[in-house]
Amino acid sequence: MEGDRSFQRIQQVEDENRALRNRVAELTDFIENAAIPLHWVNAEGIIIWANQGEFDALGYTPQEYIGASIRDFHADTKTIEDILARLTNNETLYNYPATLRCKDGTIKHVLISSNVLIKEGKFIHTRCFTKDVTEIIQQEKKRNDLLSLLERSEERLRLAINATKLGIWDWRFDEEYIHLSEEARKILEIKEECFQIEDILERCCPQDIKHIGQLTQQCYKNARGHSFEFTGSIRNVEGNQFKCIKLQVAIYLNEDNIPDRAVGTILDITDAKAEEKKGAELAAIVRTSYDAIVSKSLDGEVMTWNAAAERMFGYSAAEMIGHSILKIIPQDRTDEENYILSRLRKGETVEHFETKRRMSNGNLLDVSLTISPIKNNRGEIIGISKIIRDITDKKQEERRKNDFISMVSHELKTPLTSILLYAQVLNKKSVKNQHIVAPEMVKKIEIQAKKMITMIGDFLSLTRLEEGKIHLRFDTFQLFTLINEIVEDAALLNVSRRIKVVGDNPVKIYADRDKIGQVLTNLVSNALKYSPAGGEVTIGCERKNGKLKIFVSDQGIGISKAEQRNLFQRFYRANDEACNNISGFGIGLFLVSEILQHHGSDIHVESEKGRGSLFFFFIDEFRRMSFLPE
Amino acid sequence: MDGKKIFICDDDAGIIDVLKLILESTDAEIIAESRSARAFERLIKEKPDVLIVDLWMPEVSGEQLIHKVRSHVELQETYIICISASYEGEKIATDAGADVFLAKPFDMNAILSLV
Repeated sequence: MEGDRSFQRIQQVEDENRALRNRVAELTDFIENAAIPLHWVNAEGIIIWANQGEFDALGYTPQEYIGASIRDFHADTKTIEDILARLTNNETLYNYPATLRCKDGTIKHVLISSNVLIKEGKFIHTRCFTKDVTEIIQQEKKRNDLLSLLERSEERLRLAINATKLGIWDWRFDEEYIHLSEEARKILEIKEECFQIEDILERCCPQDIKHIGQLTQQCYKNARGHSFEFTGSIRNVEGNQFKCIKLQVAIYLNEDNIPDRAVGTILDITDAKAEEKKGAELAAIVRTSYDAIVSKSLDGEVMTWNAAAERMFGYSAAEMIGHSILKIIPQDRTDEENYILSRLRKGETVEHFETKRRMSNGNLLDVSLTISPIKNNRGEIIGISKIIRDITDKKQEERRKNDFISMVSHELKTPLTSILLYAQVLNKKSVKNQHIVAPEMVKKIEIQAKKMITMIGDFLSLTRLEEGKIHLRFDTFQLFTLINEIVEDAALLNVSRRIKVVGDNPVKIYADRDKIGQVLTNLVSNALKYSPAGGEVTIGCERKNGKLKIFVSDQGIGISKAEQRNLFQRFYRANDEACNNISGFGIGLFLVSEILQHHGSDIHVESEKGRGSLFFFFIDEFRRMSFLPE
Repeated sequence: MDGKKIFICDDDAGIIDVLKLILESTDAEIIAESRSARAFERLIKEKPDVLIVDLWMPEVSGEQLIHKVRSHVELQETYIICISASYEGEKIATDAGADVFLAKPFDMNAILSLV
């Protein structure tokens, strides 16, 4: 019995041992083959054991892994040193983030939980659990990337919306307030992010409110879809001005198909509306203008052609746009375009340029052109605009006036001839009969008659110039003989001022003697007119650069720079109190300039206020070797 | 100038008067006619040495009169002075056959030297 009991006891112990071995084997199997990577590291950081899970996770064989330093497998040195230091310090780590280097070179993100087995105060080994979180980290990173992408895209959208000055609003019908974006607040002049609809309604036009109501109703009924556009106006906060606004409205319906939210945009279109209005006004002006208004490219291609241009030239816009402007320019005037273009390039505008243009029926039309450049926003000339006025009536009026002046001047000449001749006969007779006063008085009659003759001569020259009928009769003559004749006549008219002739060498010129005489007479009589009593006028000539410089100077009141520019224009008279009592029609210097231009010369002036004036022009000296007859 | 005959034809009495006054000093015989329509007939009769004629006249113009004078056998030698207020007159006058053209207004000495 005793033996049975002992046998039973042995049997029991053996069973218990077997069970224990089984348990150890199961536990060993459980640890060796657990899905969680596990390893032990000794006090020096050398891996002394690792389970299959650890080998599988990192891809190393037990031979490569066991016995190596744990430091070699960590991607971040600082992290492993910190982990080892903490463990040596007997700390317990939970989910300490680290990065491990796999055999294939990839990096695994892991969370390490670990503590140390210490026996009798001695560091035996660590108990280290490694949780692979690479996928979680990667997903998180992906999510963060997506988030930042979204943020950037939102930022871009916001910038785009800001750039368009587009305001955004959102109204949930169950809430009392409407939410507004910053720009929307700016447009509506509302400080708060939310506002009650009533705040804004009182600043709207009643018709607009009614209209919006109707549009919204239609949305409810789904007759017009769930969105609409609306343009209306709203008063500013002060109530003294209207703003034009454009609304885009989208209505959202709930599950029961009842509208519960409206979202949309708001845009201030006041400036655009004003521009539109201005553009429409300008277009109306161009459309209804009595003058032809056309624009063309620098190549002369017509770009716009208004109704007046159609009437004036007989070509429709369709017949002209895209075609050359040369269609309406007479062949002998095509050079004008180059002249105009060169002036525009210099930044000048061409005003009241009188010329002729051809109509579709071939007839010529008298026109006045005002031309200005069309510039782009960089200031480059990209085209030309022309305002063309039909001046047929004006030209006819001018011709009638010129005919009248011509006729009157001719008619005046005959009685003047009589007066002049009588005065000359009387003078001769009274000198012969030794009268004391008569000769002097008769001479004065003669002088005044001659003055009138000069004026009539000027008028006739003017009308001839305007009609383009001036004809020069060129001849060779002694300049100083002409100068002396003029000085003699002028001296008779002006005893209080001295005339000095400079240079008396025989100089011959080839020109129209009468016309050059008219030039010099006008210059000398002006010099005398604007000189103080006792003043001196100088006339003469000098050789300069192979040409003759003929000049007339005075010590008179002088001419300002501004006036010098207008001096040679027709009917221009100096605007100066000092000249108020000086008679004249303002045609003398115009004639001087025109006559000289017909001689291929130009009149020049140098003058200073209060210091006198110098008028001069250049003309070719006649030389014997010239082919021209002497 | 003695014994010479000067014929003046101008529709303007003022010009005739003053020309007469000036030319009297030359001791020439002065004949004047203010109606150009009558002038040619008188010219044939008088056969003057000098004809002073205005270009623009009613009835018969100076141009027509000069033409007639120049085409008449007995008036070939007549020296024709044409006077006019018009610039264009010179070409018309010389084309018609005038010897010289004098633009109005002219000096006393100018007409005297021509005559």
